[in-house]
Amino acid sequence: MIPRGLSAAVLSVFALAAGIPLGNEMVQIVFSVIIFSVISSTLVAFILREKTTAKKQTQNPVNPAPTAE
Amino acid sequence: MELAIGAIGLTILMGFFGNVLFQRTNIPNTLWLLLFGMLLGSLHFIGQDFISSMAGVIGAIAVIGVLSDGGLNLDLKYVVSEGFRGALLMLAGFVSALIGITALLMVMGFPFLFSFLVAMALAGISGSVAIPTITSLSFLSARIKTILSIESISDTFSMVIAIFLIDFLSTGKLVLDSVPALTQGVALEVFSALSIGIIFGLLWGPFIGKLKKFDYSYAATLGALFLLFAFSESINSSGAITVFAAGIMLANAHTIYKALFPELEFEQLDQDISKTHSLFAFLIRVFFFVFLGIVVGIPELSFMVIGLLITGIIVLFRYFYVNAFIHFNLIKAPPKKRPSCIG
Repeated sequence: MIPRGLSAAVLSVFALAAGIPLGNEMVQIVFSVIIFSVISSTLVAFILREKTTAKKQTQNPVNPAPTAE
Repeated sequence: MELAIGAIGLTILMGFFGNVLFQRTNIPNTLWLLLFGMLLGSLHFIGQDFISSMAGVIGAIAVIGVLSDGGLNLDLKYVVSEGFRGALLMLAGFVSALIGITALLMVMGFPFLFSFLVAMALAGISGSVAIPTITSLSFLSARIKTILSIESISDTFSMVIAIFLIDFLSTGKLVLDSVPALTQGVALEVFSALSIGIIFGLLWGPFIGKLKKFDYSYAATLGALFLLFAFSESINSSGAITVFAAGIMLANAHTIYKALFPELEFEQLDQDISKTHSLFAFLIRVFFFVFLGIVVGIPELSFMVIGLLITGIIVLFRYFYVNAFIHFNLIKAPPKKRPSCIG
């Protein structure tokens, strides 16, 4: 898994508050990576779940409704 | 005033419903919170001066929350017995991201130390996003889940190292000809921080059990962690490492005491305390992402492109080293499950 999150965000704000050179640029870069990495992880998880569900449905088709005798 | 209180209430609700949505759709609340923060920022009802003045304090509170929660959720015994492959994967991911991001930013013309700092901040995987996602993937084997979960604690380590780097960059202490003195200083800082954290954790661990009979006893531990951070920083040690070490000791004190004194009975850290602390960490996370959204606003297109390229580098490197791990039988994953290790 590749998502980046709170630690990266905290560090960038920490760097900004500490007044390091290019602190504002760091915050913007980290912010963008958090968004893209979270989106990409979510997409991978979604695709995998859909594929697994589809595979399960193919292997175990829903039982047909009982017919009247 | 009413607007600010309303924004606080809305933020907490956003965090809660974002979490509900995460459980149903796997879209992390991080996204909604950042977007909400961007929206609040664009409304300009919070002054930029206020944001700048609060950044340090909010950052410090977030450090205390994230690192102590990371420490409290780290079962040393579990990591030692199950975590070799997870630790290897973590190391491979950490080092490859560090090298890849540093190189990419340097090619784009950023200075080395800045590139390295950004890479350090982004080298760790976010456990708070990754672990619930991994848990929700029911088709993964328990073994792969364990390895990926252990790998996801890397952000705590990257945070500890990066805080040192920020300290040096902001104080200008990082001068090449003072490397021996610097190394000595870092070693002393790490040693003192670890010592304070470990001593505190070992002393406070058994004390938590005695405080349990009183209402709101968790508040005492939380207050003590804040004081510990402040004390450590005031003696020029690292508050971040101190709090992290204290968290690990609080969660594992009973194991250590049992090993040292097998004849005595020691209570494990109360699950209620761990859960309450997770709630505290959740609130920090919620407010922090909104705060970050306010600080950044809508990012400039050039930084969005850099962010996209960095994400691409991380995914590409991960594809290669996960396949290398599978090739050398360090992870046993059938071909159809490999994307879950990479994604």
